[in-house]
Amino acid sequence: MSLIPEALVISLREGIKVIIVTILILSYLKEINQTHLNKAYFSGVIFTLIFSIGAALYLVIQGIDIRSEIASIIGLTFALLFIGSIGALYQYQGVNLFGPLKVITQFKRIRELIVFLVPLIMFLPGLIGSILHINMVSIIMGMAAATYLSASSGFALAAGIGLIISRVRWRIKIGSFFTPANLLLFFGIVLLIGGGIKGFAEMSLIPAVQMRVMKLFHDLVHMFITFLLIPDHPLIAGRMWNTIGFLFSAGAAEAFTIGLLLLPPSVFIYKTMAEPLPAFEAKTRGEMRKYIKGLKMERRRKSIPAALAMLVILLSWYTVREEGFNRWHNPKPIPVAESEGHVLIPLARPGMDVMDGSLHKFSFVHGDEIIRILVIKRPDGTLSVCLDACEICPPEGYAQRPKEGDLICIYCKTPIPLMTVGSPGGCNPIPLKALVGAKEAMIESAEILKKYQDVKTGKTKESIHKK
Amino acid sequence: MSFILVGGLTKHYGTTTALKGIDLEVQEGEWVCIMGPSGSGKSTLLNLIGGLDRATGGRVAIDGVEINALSEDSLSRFRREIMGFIFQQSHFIPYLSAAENVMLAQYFHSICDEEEAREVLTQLGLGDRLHHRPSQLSGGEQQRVCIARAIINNPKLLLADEPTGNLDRENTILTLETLKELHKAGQFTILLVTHDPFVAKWAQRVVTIEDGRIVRDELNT
Repeated sequence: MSLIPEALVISLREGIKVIIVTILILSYLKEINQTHLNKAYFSGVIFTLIFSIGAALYLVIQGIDIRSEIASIIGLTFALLFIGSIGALYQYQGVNLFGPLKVITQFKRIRELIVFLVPLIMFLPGLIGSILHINMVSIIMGMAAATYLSASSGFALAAGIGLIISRVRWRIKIGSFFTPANLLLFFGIVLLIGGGIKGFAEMSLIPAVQMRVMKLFHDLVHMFITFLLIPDHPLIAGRMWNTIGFLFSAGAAEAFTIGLLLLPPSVFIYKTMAEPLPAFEAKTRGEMRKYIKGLKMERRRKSIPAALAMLVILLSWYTVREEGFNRWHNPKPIPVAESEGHVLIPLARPGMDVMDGSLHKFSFVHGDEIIRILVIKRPDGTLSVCLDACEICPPEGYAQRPKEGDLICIYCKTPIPLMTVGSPGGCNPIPLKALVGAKEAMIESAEILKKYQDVKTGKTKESIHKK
Repeated sequence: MSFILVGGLTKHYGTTTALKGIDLEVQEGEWVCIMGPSGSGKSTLLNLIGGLDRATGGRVAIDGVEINALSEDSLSRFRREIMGFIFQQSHFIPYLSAAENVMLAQYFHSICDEEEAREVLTQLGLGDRLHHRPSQLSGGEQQRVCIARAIINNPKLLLADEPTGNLDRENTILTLETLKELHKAGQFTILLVTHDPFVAKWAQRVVTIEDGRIVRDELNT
């Protein structure tokens, strides 16, 4: 996607987020007869808009780029909203989690403050991040006016949509579907789907959540199995990595991620539907049936947002599940030949320069095996030549994260800083001794084959346990 | 305040006038029989009171609710919650059992409760006919299932249009006795339309209609 339309998409997305949250909040406040809090909400929206523009301007002037930090804040907010929705569910069902502090929510000023904070929590990080990103786009394009015009068009389009929606007379009472708990859950979903600060490519937080889940499992496996529990167990040494590797395989991470994301809405639906019926004195059995029906309908209605959340998570996951990996730069290996016991890697070709900072891969055939070598320039200007494999994971190899510039293990998703590429051990790619000349880098075939065989047979993993 | 209040009620079908200004008040818990010859307008009156048809003019208020002012949805809801109907024809779903036909009324009112449906049918002497289909029941049994279906949701008003029209004398008595017992126990109002003076004897009050007008309104002694 061209960068200028991307600016439009970003601002449109932020605008749509504002519309969705506004509809939900205002409908809910109407449902609970608290429309006097609308003013606090709109004050929050105006404050958020002004503050985000001011903060973004300050950051731009100071040359500070905190987009990564903002993405983390949005991710954290999403997680807190998800967890908070479960807490709110228990609170709503009569388990007082606030203890004596519950009484403060009865104060008008506290309620106003809570409603005022909603836009800050929901929009502030996203707006600052989006403005910073749009500014970055304008710099890259060298067309500031066009970029900002594009972004303004997105906001205008969103405002138009909002205006049309505000004129529609809704037959459905949207607020009746919500409680404070599923409102939080739904806000979480809004952040999950529209939480990225870039364009379409980062619309969903699902790849980020998946990455973190994979990393978590990977680190847990390392911590517990390698270092704490069974460092020298004869049965679990060596090839065990290939067995437990499924824990941090892409498939397992996907399953864990989806399980993790679906957990709060599932708990929500279960708790809402399975709650025992409160006692009710009915004059007739017909009246009792009617009461039960009403209660069940109410519960179904309150479960719809959670069911919708599950649907959105699944659809979002389905559409972006490959996105996280596809975004990584994983070049197709260029075949090179083995000659007189050496493999020669060309340093430059038309359209290719190994010193350009990008990841480059080469491959050569030995017997039935295709062995991959990666080459990348480190920040200190030196060239690293390594096997496209590490000592621990199966030889899936590495990709480069375009945003961060570092390498990442395709198997376990561990990021590798470029400064450590070329150093032996751990999750780093296995370094190869290479003689770097003016036009080529020369590597001894024997060294490549030995190290490749060590990886293939699991010897490298055994050596870890002997360390 | 009267439970049923009908004032100046008229109904035209094209050029035909079925009701020519009916005024009627029925108190809660009364059993009123509307009598009259065929074509006198008694079923039309029942349909208008039951909200099954819209009046051309006049008013019908039931339990304080002006039903002519209700929307179709509200009227359906009102009917569902306040009224029970018994017709000359049973209008059963032929492939459902007696119990299931009664449960269908529960379903449209709120939720199904099979145990309650069984209890009501047993109370009406149909304990051994619960799983019989309508075609496997006699006329009298079918009419008792109709009664069960009409009262299962504890209506405040039971509207019956020639409920014994298809029955022999023995089953007519059985059906009317059943209604009498339920009326005594259930505290609901009954408005029953018939052309049969024998059936009218069971009511507390008989209103006679002729040519779209009330010509007599008398208490049964």
